[in-house]
Amino acid sequence: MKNGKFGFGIIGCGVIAPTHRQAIDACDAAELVAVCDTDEKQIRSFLAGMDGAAAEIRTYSDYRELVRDRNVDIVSVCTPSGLHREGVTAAARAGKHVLCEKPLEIDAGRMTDMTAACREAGVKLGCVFQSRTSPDMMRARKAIQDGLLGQVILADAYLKDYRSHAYYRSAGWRGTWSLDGGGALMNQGVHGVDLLLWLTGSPVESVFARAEHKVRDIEVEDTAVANLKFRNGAFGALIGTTSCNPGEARRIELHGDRGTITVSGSSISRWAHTREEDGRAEDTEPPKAIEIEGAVADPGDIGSAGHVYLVEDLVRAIREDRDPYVTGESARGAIDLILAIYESARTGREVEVRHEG
Amino acid sequence: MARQTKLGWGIIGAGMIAGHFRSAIDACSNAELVAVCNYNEEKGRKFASESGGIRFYRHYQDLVADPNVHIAGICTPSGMHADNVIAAARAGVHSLCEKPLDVTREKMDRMIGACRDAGVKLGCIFQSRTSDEAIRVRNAVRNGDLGKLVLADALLKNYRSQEYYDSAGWRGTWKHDGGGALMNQGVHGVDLLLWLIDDDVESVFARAEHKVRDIEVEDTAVATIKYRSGAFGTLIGTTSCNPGEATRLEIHGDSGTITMSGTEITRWATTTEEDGRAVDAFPPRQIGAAGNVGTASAVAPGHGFLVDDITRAVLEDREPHIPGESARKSVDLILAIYESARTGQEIVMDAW
Repeated sequence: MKNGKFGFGIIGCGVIAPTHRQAIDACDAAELVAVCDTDEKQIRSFLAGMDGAAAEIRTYSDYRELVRDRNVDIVSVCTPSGLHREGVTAAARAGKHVLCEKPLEIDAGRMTDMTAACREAGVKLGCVFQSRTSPDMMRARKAIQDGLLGQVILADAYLKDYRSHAYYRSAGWRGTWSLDGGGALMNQGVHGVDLLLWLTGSPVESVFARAEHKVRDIEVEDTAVANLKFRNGAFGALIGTTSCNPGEARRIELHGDRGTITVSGSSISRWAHTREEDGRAEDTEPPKAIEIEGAVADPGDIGSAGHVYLVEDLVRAIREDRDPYVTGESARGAIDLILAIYESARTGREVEVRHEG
Repeated sequence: MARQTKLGWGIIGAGMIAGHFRSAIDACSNAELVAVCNYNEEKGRKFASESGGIRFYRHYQDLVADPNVHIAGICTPSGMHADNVIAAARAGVHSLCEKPLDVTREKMDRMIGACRDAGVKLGCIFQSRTSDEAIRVRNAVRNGDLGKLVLADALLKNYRSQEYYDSAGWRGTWKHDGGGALMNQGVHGVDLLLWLIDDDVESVFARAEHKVRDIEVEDTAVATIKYRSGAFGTLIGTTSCNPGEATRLEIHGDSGTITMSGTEITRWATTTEEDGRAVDAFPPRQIGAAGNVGTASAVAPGHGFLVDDITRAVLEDREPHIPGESARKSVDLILAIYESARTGQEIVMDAW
């Protein structure tokens, strides 16, 4: 803590690190004090984007040293997905709070290690699922929790993306099990999977799925379809692909016997409901503002808006000693489901989704 | 058969759909409605007199024995189709059968077999297959415009109130409807998707339940499909999504996407470049659709097309646009979905 600001240290100076930096810069109570990467070139190019302020930033090649830096209060973990546990547990053991990029990790046991380490150390663990920070999505979740749709009967996510051969060839770790931990679902689709679970507000009980790489020369899946049964009794379909050309906007469709809410991208595209018993739902405008308890201010329409929200939230969570907006336990739900999908695809059987945390 | 001769039609079942058949037959220059059969005599006689005083029969066995009847239009409840068609076939009469073909595999086997043995045509009504848009999409997929097929999904999200099911006792029963959201409301979408992609289902895992309606059959079903081509697919059929959505079919390949909503083409994007991004375009103006038949505008277009088509198929001794073997595929899939939902097991179509 310096000048009343929380010091942030970023582990992993790859593609997402500048977004964390912007978010930290945008937060009055936060300051970037240290960065770490095993590749010195990555650090140099990261700092090159910082103008004069770069001189103040300490640099490390070993994350275990960064987490011990006395000026670091919060660690942003921006390493490849399969390396998140190392960063998070080291930070926790050094008594540092953590903001971890999605996905939390790519293995159930490792996620348990991470949440346990943070709990034992008494530090906060927040995860970046920026889609949850859109005001439209908050409205939708609140309305569903309040029973706007009646009994939820279907909750579907259509995550149809496109990535070319050239994309997968452009970096060696893309499409590998060890670093990406999965493909169309674990990587591109994980935000949509998280949003589906978070909006529905119910965990998935069991899943039958298929997942394969159909047209790309990669280890992981480029196409997956899953048949879900939620604990609240609803059915659901989950489609994740990176081989639909040219790709579609992400859609999430939630239907109950009293209404329907659909999402396109991060915006509400349909909002229909009825209060009448056995009545037909009517399309309406979603309510403009719903008071969300504990929500921080709408960060506005900028590229790193979700990250700004989550950095700000984590700082407040530490000050107020409350849970962050996206806790580790909540963030692992999407990963537990995706892992169950992979297991079902491997075994050809329906799989019960484990819920730990 | 001489050019000026008209083929005589008999309609079995004078319910709601019989009117579509009558207008279509009236509009077809090679066809003439000569008889109708209905178990309820009053209703049947009324239909006969409204149809210019055609002959009325109380029993379908008598209608198919009428020497002036060459083609029977089957408009009875789904579970009676096979009996009607088999009787027609044994009397040497061709059949155009309302959807679904029937509601059990055994009965579909028997009706198709009976028509084959008797050398008569068996056509089925799936009017969605007759639109220019659908024919255009099917031709493009078969032509390889989408590249390798990756996903083919049907989202059939309808709404029916409890009042709807309560309004007629046979609604939502296994015996008369043979199924619910899929067999009844969804069967057109299922049929159309399978026809558009010209692929067969290899295996399916599904859930089906009546979630919010007090009926025997399913009001909501989700099926996860693997096609023979290797593509995956999802089929969602429900009558409990309030207020319901337009039927959507989404077909994706590695070099293109075509989607339909209702009968309209809503997306058409393709690329011919290796590893290139597909570009949205308007659908091609008009691709000559093989077998496309003109219809009079006052007639329900699907029925007009298919009545004209089977009449010509008989005259030209060719297969109708929707033969029984092709029409049964959607029903076979829906039955496999029910079986999977009952057993909790994946159903492999060949081994079933």
